[in-house]
This record gives sequence, structure tokens and C-alpha cells, in this order.
Amino acid sequence: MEKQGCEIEALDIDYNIFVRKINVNPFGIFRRKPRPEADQPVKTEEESLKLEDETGNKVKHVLKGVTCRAKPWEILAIVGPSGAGKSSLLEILAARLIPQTGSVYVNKRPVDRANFKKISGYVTQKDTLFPLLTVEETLLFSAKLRLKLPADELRSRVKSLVHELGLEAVATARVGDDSVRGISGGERRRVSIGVEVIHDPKVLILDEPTSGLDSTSALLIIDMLKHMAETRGRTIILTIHQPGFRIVKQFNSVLLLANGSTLKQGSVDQLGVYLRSNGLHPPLHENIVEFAIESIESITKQQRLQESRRAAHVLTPQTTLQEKRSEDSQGESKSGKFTLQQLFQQTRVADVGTMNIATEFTRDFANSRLEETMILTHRFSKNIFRTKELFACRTVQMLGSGIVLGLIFHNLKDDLKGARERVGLFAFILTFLLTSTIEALPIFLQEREILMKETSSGSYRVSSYAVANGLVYLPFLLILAILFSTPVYWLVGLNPSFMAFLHFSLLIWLILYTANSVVVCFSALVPNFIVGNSVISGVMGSFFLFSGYFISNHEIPGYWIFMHYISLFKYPFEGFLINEFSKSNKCLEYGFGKCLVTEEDLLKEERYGEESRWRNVVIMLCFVLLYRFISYVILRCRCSQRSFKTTLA
Amino acid sequence: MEIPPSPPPETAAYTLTTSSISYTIPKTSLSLLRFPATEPPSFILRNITLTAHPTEILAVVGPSGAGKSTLLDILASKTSPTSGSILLNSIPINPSSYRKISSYVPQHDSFFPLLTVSETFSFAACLLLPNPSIVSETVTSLLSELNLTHLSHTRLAQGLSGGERRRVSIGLSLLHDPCFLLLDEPTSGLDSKSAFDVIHILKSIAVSRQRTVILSIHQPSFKILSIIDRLLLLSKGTVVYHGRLDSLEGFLLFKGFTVPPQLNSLEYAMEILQELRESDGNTDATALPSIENRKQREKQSIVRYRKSRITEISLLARRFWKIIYRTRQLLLTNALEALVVGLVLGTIYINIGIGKAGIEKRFGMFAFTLTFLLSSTTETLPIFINERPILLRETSSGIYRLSSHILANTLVFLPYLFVISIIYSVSVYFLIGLCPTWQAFGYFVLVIWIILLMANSFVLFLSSLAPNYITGTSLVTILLAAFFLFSGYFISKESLPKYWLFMYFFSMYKYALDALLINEYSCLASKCLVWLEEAQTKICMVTGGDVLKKKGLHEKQRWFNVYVLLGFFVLYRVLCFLALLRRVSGSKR
Repeated sequence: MEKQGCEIEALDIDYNIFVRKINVNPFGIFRRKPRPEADQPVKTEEESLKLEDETGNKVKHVLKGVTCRAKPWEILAIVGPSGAGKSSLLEILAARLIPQTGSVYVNKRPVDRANFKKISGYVTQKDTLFPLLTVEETLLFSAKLRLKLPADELRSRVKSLVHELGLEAVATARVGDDSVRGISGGERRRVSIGVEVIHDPKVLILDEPTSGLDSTSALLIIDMLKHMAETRGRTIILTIHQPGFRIVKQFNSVLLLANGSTLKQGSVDQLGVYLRSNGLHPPLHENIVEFAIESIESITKQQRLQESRRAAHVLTPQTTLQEKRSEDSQGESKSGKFTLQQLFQQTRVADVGTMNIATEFTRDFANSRLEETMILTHRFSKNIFRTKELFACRTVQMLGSGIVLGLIFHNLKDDLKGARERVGLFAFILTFLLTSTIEALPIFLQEREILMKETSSGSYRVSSYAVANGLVYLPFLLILAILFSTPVYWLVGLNPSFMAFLHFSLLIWLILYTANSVVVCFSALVPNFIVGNSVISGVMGSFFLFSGYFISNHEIPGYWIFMHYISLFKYPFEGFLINEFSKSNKCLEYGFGKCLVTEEDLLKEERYGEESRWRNVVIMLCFVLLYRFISYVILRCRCSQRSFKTTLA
Repeated sequence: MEIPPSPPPETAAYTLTTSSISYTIPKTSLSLLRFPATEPPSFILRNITLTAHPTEILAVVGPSGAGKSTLLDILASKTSPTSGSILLNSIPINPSSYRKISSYVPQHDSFFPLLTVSETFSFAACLLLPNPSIVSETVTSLLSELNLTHLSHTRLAQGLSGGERRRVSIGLSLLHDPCFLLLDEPTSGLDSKSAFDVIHILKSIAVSRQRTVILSIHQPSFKILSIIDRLLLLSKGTVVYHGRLDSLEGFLLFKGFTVPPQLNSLEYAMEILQELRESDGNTDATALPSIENRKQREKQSIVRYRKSRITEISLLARRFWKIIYRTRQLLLTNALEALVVGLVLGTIYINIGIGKAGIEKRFGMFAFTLTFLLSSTTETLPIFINERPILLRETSSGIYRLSSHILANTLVFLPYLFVISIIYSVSVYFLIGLCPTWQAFGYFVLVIWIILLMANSFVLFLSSLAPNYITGTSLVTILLAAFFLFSGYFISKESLPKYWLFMYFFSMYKYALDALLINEYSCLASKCLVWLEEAQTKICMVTGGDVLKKKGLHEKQRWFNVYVLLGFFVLYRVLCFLALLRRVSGSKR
């Protein structure tokens, strides 16, 4: 019993976007300083699809009445020039966009957009992969997230997929990107395809899979897709804009799109017949699809001529019209018969498809929350250890700065001046640790893009990502905290109690983790690095200002005192002071033969007490949880907004 | 049909030939190229001989790994071949002067995204053309020639398609008025119509201006092939075919292959590259004339910039100001930050008063001011790093001097940061109740301004060193933290171990903090800050002068600190210049 495939049908698709016309300054002379533009043009992802002949229209018709059909076991290629609407049509077929009118059907039933993503794979033009993972690891993590299978079966599936993709030679190589050396562009594209077919989708949708590749790599990819269609019964839909003949031969069906309208859908041979019937004859050494794309203007003109000729009602055209009518009637009868047969067959297919779909949709996600979290934590840890800037540099940085600080504040004296300098040390440690974590911001921003792509495919829950992100940094930051605390504490000669040292290390660890949580929170929120850097610096700066170090809390004006209590600096700073000066009767200043100031007195002067020691730790933990929760909510909103979902698991 | 502008009569046409060019990988980098195992172990190019004629397009074709980009790098004089030579009208080239008459268009476009197409051309034209009066006319005709007139007021960041951006790149290279145009995959990523448009424009440029055009291309379509004059088919670093397109089919027939229908001859040749490599297919090897031309050699050896330094600086300053002005993130962020932080500090330390607490508060306020001012300038780091490849490309092409760029940058930031310092000072000074004289306020503004300039120079210097902005941000954070640590605020000079004392004098925080303290307490020098009341008598314990004395400061040091800060400002700019200079000389692309 062969597995039945999915037939995708789109009927009368209309898709419009609203574009504000770019403000062109008619009085602008290039030497004169241009007037600042009052309103920026609205940036949409279809900006590049803007037609050159579009002048002054507020509404842009990207797609107009497009109808197409993609069958199982076949490849449908959507071809046309830039601005024809290929990518928009593809996103509608992939259930990423919703058209204004028209519908998409899967086996004659309206598409269930959320569930359709489970049985389909969508490969974007841009490869979105982790550059530091190997090819094998990338596919294995993708398999674990999307499939519920035993470990050895997952591995064998990945192995066979690597073989099918022709990537055995580079299976253990890192994927790489512009800045990280890795596999070639064609190989990386194949990895992107592999990530989307690991869960054995019935439908595979690809946006310009050969863009940027040379002809050999391009042919390899199309051959591979052809093999997938013919051996696994997949429905494959792709866009392409300059195919060579060897590639064109692999297409079962071609959809010629121009200015948002369908000019022709059919096989390559049918396209050739269509061109010749319009009086267009391709040269001997040019392939038909290439010639068709170049002839779009001629075809469009001829269509207009034919329409105007019909309206003229001249005698000779009447004869032509009569002939066409007879041809049309013949065609209608043929298509009628065909349709009847097709209806009968498709009814069977639809029934089977319905049963299959019902069976497959019993589970929303492949893994439980716990399993998802474990898989994501594993992937995170690999990325962290391999990112030199994040792991190795930070380790060296923490150890080095710990030693340097220890040497600078080496053996502070037990007097009033020494006490003030201990306070200075604590303030500096806070400043340094909290601000240095901004370095990780670009890495979080990069991950966010991959997160949105993967959750929109239904790979895992956003909550699992948030938890995994939180978990993976705990041991890493603990290592950093110990590396930093050990040299600082003993070189400076702080409170020589081991319990005090442990508490100090705990505070350092919490400081690092709080800073990490703040950066995670803002990386979910901000659009890019420049804004993120500014916002985080501003927030940290204000917390620093209100920490109590530059101005005592009892001297802060009443209308600003609330800032003191939400400052991240206050609680660890207070914790350091209590840890160092509490329960100590050391005398800092003598006068008239007796002690004037003890360390305990310093604490009392600032109204700190031993009872605040653990309260500060608890408050810091609450801040961590708060920032993590905020980042989770923001990411969830971003992901659901991206995929037009109203409900999330 | 547009009439192309008549070519400048004084420009000569050149024929470029290579003689047995070979290129091998340096041994030290062999370990980096393990993955392309199918390549010969050391040769990238082997025995390449080619000829490129004026008014013609030579297309270098081949699969990935064939050596196309390496060959273009050698033809552009970005890389020296291991053996062989490049001849210009039969005379070996001088790489430095050759770069002046050739222009290389890389595969990836890089422009200033906030300038319009017209502005981009105008700035380049002002720098390159000897006669300023023809700039407008030249730009207009160039826009027309490239079919970009309707986009002349469009910013490059938005509204341009891939093909249009590529044409802007070509336009910029034409403003050099080069004899050679070298393009690396000019049609990559474009659709067939855009690709055809680009090649068509290149052809009209070659014909109307007597230029020699050499480009690499992956998979040209039939129509594009009909425009290209000559082919060089590479496979694994060797020439499979070099000649005209219409001869290729005959060549294939000669080798026993027939081109099937619907395949163009080049497509078919690419498929059977392995078989074709068995024999040398160079049918266009011409005997090289040995006549020497001394005039041309002398012309090649002259290296000069086309504009005076003052013109360069003013043009670059104008361009830079437009970019800063249009980067709303930077402009608004800096101004709002200065205002908001100033007001917040002002309302926190409002009417700071005198007394023991007042002394501590002033000290804290000054320290935080420095922290804010120095750290906020790191926001320009990504902008500097993103612009660096453009700067390197332009200076290595000889468009302008690197020093002119540094000076133009300085000219733009001087007034810009002055405004920022005014905003900050006005919002913070009088709210807090610092010394209420105009002289003291003026000095305060001056110090703030110099601090901002110094920080700007510091970030500029680090942006010239850092490979990317993650590393750049780390560097800035660590160094600013170190300077902050040694400022004297956290640990006094006396408590500092001897072997760290030198860092105290390197810290930029120290001199700024000292300057601010001197400014404030000089005003309070004869004013009593702390009283001791005993019986019926008041005894003054601490005056403003005493505070200064206790910190080891003196009013006479007021201007010394300013001079040191200015010294840092100049020092970091010079270091930035040196770092960029090293990058330019090492730059290849």
C-alpha cells in the first residue's frame, strides 16, 4: 500500500498590501540640504515586490486571481521576474500569509493553517542555522524536536537523511556562516532543506532554493528534490527565476506569474505550445522557461490586443471567434469528462487524506515540555561552548579581572580609609559585572530569529525555550563566579571566614545571573543591537545611580526613592556590606584612647542589619524570575504575532 | 534610443593580457583549506593566459572552486600571482598606478544607506572629477546612462531592487573614469531581467567609452551570452576555453560533442568540463608585440590624488554630517540621554548645599557624570565598525586620503558634541546648585565637551582595531572599567600598590574628575563648609581650599588637566589613524 500524498490547490487568490508612497522632494537639488522627511515609508516585507509602473497607488495588488495546483509526486515551479508575486504566493501556500480573497485547499478540503505546518516544510531563501553546530548535530536536534522516536531510530534516520542529501563528506563539519568558516553555500542550502524534511512532510515548499549557487550546485539540489518527490510521494513547490535547461527538465509543472497574475500553468511542453500559439518561437539554444520569462511583455501585449480585437467586432475576427468558440466547446467537453473522473478519484484521495490527517493530529508537539527543555538545553550548551566570544573570552576575562582587582586592592588596611575602599571595591565589582554582560546581546538577537522560525513551524513551545535558556546559563555563570571570587576575595583580604567567602561567591553568581536575565529580557524586546545597547546601558546606568553608593538612600529626594528600591545594584551592594562588616567589632578609628567607630557602626549608620542578609538574596532571585518572565511574554507575543496565531500551547 | 555621452578624448584605450599566471596557496594557510579536498593540493590557478580588449566584455565562467575570484583579484592587483605577469598594451603593470586606472566592483554592494542615489554619485564625483563645474552634468548623464534617473532621490536603504543597487555600484566605479572595469559576479542574486539589464549597460559602457570590461559569472542566460564578447572557461584553475562565444560550438564539435537543443553551448560546456579539460582550448593566444611605449610607462608611474586636502576634508565632512543627521537613533539617543540624565541628576542632587554631606554628594555626582559621559559614546561603535569597509575600500582605491577622513570626522563631531555638552550642562548645573558664576559654568561646559571628544576618539580608535562589534564592545567595556577603577574614586592614590601607580596617570577619569573638583572648590575656596561649635565660639574646620588640599589638588592645576584631556583626544585620533593605515595597506577587498 503506497502512502497517499497531498494535493495543494489555490483558487482565486487575491493579496493586497498598503504601501505609502515614498516622499520624493520635487524641489530637491542635490547640493541643497534636503528637507528631513516628515514621514518614513512603511517598511513591509513586500517592499521589494513593488512594481516599477506602480505610481501613486495606495493599494498594491501583489496577487490577482491566482489559481494553481500542485500534485503529489511532482514538482511545481513558480517562475517569473522580480515583483511578480512569487514569494507572496509561496508564503500563502505555506500558510504564513492570509490572502484577502481566495482559499487554499489540501486534498479538496480547506487548509487548517496550524496543522498544515506539521505536515509541511518551508525552506526560506535565507539559511537560518546555527553556524557552530555540525551538519549532523543540526539535523539531529531538529529531529529530536520534531519527532517522538527512540534515540537509535533518530540517529539512523539522520544518517539516512545525510546520505540522501549527499552530505556524508561534511557530516562532522560546522555549518558556518559569513564570519565562521564552514561548508559551502550549496551544502548549507541542503542542510536547510534537511532541517525541513526531517519530520517527513508531505509537502515541501522552497523559496528560490538555487539563488546564489552555481549551476552545478543548483542542479544537485533540484535533482535531490526530484528524487524526494518521486520516491516519497512529496508535493514540492518552489520558486525560481533563472533556471537552466537541465533544471527545467526536472519540473513536472510550471506556473508562469507576471504582475501578480497567472499567465500559464502546465507542463514545460504545454508552455512551449502556448508560446508558439502566441506567435513566439524560442531560439534553438534557449530553453522554453527562460524564453517565456523574457517574453512576458509580448504575451501581455498580445492578450490586450486580443481583448481589444474581440471588442471591435470586425468580420474577419468574427470568423476567428467562431473557430475559437468551437475549440472552446471541445475543450469544455474534454475538461468536463476529465473533471468527472478527477472528482471521483479525488473523492477517494480526500477520504484517505482525511483519515490520515485525523490520525496525525492527535498530538500537537512531538515532545513533552520536559523533553523539549532538555533538548534545547543541550543545543544551547553546545553553542555556548563553541562561541569563543561568549565562553573562552569571558572565562579569561573573569579570571584576569579577578586577579587584577585582587592585586590592586591588595591587603587593605583595617581603618576608616580601608573600610571606604572596601566599599569602593564592592561598587566597582557590581558595575563591572553588570555592564560586561551586554556583550552577549548580539548572540541573543541572532538566536531570536531562529526561535521565531522554529516555533512558527511548530517545533517546540516558546516556554520550553525560555526555561532551557534559563537553565543553561546557571552552571556556566557559576564557573565564572568562582573564577572571579577566588582571587579577589583572598588577595584583598576580606572577611576571613569561609562561610563569608561562600556567601560572597553566591552574591557574585546571582549578580551575573541577574545581568544575564536583564540582557535576555531586552534582547527579546529591542529591534537591533544599537537600540539594545543604548537601552541596557541606560537602564544599568540609572540602577547604578540609585544604588546608594553615589548618594545615600536617606538623602535621595522622596520622589525618586522608589528607584532606589527597584535598582538592581542596591541589594547585592547591601549584601556585600553586610557580609563584610556584620558581627564585627573591629575598630576603625581611635580617639582619646578609646574606639570611636566600629565596622558594625558603619552598617548601623546606613541602617543595614544582619537580618537583611538573606532577604537581599531572595529579592535578587525575585528580580531574576521577573525579568525571565517578562522576556518569555515578549517572545511569546512576537512568535504568535509572527504566525498569526491566537492561541499558543 | 539614448545617445551615450561622448567619451573623453584624452583617455587611452588599453588591452590587458596575462602571461602564464599561476597562483598557489601560501603554506601557512594550507590547514585552513581542508574541505575543498577535490582541488589540487596547492594550485589555485595554473598557467592562465588571456587577452581582454577595449570595447569588449570578457566573461570568466566556471563552477565554484574554479578560481574565478582569485583570478579577478590578481587582475585587479589585489593579489600578486605566484608566477606570470600582467601586461598593459604589452607593458608590465605598476600595481599602484594600475589601481588608479582600473576599478573593481565587488559582489556585495556597500554604500551609506542613508544617502540618496544622487548624493552618493555627487559626493564621489566631487572627490574624483578635476573640474567641479561639471559635477552636476556628469551625475545627471550617469544616472541617465544607468537608467537610475527616476531613483535619484531614493535612499539606498530602501526602495531599490537588487539590480538597481548593482547599477549604483557600477556607477560609482565609473566615476573613477577607469580604463578597466572588473566585476565579481555582477548578476548573482538577480533575476533574468535585472541580470540582462546590468550586462547590457556594461556593454554600452564598454562600447561608448572604449572601456575594457572583465567579469565573472556563474550561469549566464542565452540573451546575456549574446552580449558577451569573449569567454574564459575555467575549471580547477586551468583554462578550458578562451575565445569568442560563436567559436565555442565549433570548438565543442571539434572535441566530438554536439550541443543539444534548448541548451546553450556554454551550459553544455559546463556539464562536460571534465572531458574538455583533457586538452588546451585556448584558441585566442596572440603573439605579444614587444614594442615599448615610454610615455605610457611614465603615465603609469605617476601617483597623485585628484583633489586638494581642504576640498577632501570639506566634502567628507559634509557627507559624514548627513549620515549622522539621518541616523535618528544616534542623534535622538544622544540628545535625549544628555537631557534626561542631566535632569534626573539635577533632581536627585537638587540644592546639594554645603557641609560634610555636600562634599560627598558633589564627589559622587562628578563621578557619575564621568561614568555616563564616557559610556554613552560607545553607542557609536557599531556605526563606526559598519562604515569601516566602505572607508577602507575608498581610501585603498585612492579616492581620498585617510587623514582627510579623520579630520573630516573630527570637524563633524566638534560642534555635534558641543551641543550635547551644552544640553547636559544646562540641565544639571543650576538645578544642583553648583558654583553660580558664568566663568565656572563656562569652564564646566568646556570640560564636559572635552570629555565627550576624548571618549569619541577612544571609541573611534577601538572601532578601528576590533574585528567585530562583539569584540569591540568587550574592549570598550574592559578599558573604561579599568580607567574608572584607577580614577581615584574607588581607591585612593596612596592605597594603590606601587606597581599599579602608572595606571593612575593613564586613567582619563582622573584628570576629568580633578578638573571638575578644582572648578567647584576653587569657587568655595574661602567659604567655610564645616563648622565646629564650641561654647560661644564657632571654629571653621574645613574650607573649600582644605578639600582641595586634602585631595592633593591645587587651583593652578585647572588648565593642566584640560591640556592633558586634549592630549588624550589627539592621541586616540592619531592611534586610530595609524590603525586604519595598517588596515588599508593590508586590505585586499
